Amino acid sequence: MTTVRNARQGSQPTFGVLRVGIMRVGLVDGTPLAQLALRTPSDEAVVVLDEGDAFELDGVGTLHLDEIRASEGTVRGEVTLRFEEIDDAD
Amino acid sequence: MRTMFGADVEALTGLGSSFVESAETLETARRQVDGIVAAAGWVGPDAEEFRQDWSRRLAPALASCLGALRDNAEVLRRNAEDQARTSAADGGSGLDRGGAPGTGGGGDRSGDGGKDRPGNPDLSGHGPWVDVPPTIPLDDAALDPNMINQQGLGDCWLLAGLGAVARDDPQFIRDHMQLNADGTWTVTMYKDGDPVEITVEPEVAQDGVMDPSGNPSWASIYEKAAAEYWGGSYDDIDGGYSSDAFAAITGATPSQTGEGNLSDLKDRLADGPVALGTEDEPSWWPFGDEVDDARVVPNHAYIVDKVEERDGELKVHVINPWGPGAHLQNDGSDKVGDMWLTEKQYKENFDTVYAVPSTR
Repeated sequence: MTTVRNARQGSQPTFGVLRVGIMRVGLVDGTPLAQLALRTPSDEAVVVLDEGDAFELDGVGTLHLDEIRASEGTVRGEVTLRFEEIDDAD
Repeated sequence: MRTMFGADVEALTGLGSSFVESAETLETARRQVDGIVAAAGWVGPDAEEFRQDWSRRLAPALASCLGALRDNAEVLRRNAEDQARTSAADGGSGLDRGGAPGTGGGGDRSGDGGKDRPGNPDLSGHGPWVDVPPTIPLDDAALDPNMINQQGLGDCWLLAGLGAVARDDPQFIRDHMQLNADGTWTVTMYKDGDPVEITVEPEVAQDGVMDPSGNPSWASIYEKAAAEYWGGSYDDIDGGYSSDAFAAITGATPSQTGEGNLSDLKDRLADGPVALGTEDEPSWWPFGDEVDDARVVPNHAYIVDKVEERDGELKVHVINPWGPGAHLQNDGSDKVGDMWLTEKQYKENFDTVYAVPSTR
């Protein structure tokens, strides 16, 4: 199953067992980046991703950072996340 | 003499546009200066010192100003919208309810809200509705602030306030939640110190706060009541200050001060619930070695759990409304959901203390 969510900095959209804390969304030397806290029952990782990046979580699924909407002078941006859950039936 | 309460919608909208235009003018100027500074035919130690001062002090200060202009433009826009909506609903009684951009940092809610509304609040894209089970645990373990799991709403300010009150006096929360015979819940909140009963149907936004298992909890019900209280939509609690949460939850007068030191914080915590705020960052460099940037979230609110001596120094334990994690980060770094901070780390990361007298 694939789920798409828009989320603002400071919120924590959840995809099943995966919690995605939107820590920072901003421009770094003009490049939009997002810092995310990825937490599952077994793992926790803080990652910095570019627009278009994907992050695979073992046994859970793949999180795609489809879009970053960031502005100069703030880390209070927004992201579009797409999560592809691993199908247990596969 | 007639006294007007409220706002001129057109004036607010115009002012907001002026703020946006000013931000854009400042942004253009900043980029121009950036280019001129980089391209100027000037070399040597003085030139290097000047360029570093520009990039490390002046440019970030301009960027911070830009951010403030844009934030306040958003506040003005929401105020104008609220006023227009209120005027349309009340035939022009026009109480200004204020507004709050973003998450965590929020805006002034003095004068906001304070009434029950029929039906459900607007989901504002945070749905669908999830049924609340017929019974919700309200024992001390269920009311532990670690059981709060913020999701897609930007209401950390509210959840930090709720968590801090629940930590300080769980019985207060139990006394202010009533399960009715028809399955609805009545939550008693406060407006200017006077109780206001908010009755909510037993269904909550799927994207709202849940317990760590992903199930509706007491906090889910309070959150829905807050959405009704502050305007009738879940969007109405997207962004705010924990001081406003404290006032609405407890009816007491909250305080909002700078971060102070940990000894001050310990004294405040002894007097009642305390929440902390972090502010926006005008610039961000994620690839450096700053110890705490990877853990503390800007524009966010935290619950203060403890201040005590550990390893020979005073430290503070704070809880993120995102909920605690069960594990250290996979690179061995500390957890994001709750952390122990030294005084230095505390002062570097937090800038506001919200407190309210205990309800015990």
